[in-house]
Amino acid sequence: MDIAKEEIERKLRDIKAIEFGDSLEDVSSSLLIVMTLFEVDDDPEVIMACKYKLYEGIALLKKYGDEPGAKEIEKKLD
Amino acid sequence: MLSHLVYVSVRKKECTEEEIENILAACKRNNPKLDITGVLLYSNTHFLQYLEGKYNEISDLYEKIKGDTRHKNVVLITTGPIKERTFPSWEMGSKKIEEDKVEFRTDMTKSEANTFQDIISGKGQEGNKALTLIKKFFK
Repeated sequence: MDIAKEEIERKLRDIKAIEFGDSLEDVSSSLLIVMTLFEVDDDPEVIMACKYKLYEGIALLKKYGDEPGAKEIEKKLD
Repeated sequence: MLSHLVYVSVRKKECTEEEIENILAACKRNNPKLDITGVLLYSNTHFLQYLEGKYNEISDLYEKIKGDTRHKNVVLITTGPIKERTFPSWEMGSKKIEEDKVEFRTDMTKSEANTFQDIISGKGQEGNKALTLIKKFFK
């Protein structure tokens, strides 16, 4: 059993399965989780999956009127 | 192989304090026979659980936990082998994270409480990514 490989596969599955919901509160709560993994993980594939999900969340933050929150995350992605 | 696993999730609004008591009761009931120890940290909006035990056991438990309807968007943060347990005597301790107040809700000695406070405050446990994360997530 390759634990490291299994770990990456699980993370990718978990990240892809995230549903942000339909309120600013829901989006912000889930974004915190994605941002946590983005900041602590060092696997390129996981980081890329997090980035993709973060951009999805950023769009929703903007939709719900949280421009400052969206900009703060965008800065971290630059 | 002794391993650890950390996940974070979003606490659903329907998950009351009473529900958290139920979660802890279930942990205390089920984890000893699986030889799983750890800690459940929670705030008003999130859970973070740190599990320790045999890799297969904590892995299977994680898959079950993901299906629990009291939380959503469960994401694995880290898993892998460890040399020793950080919470050897905790069937499943818990701690609610507030901005300026910490309350332990488990039966633990003063020494164990101090160990946990050290982890949160960053003393010791160098190189343990999971514990670093715990500090970061609830900072």
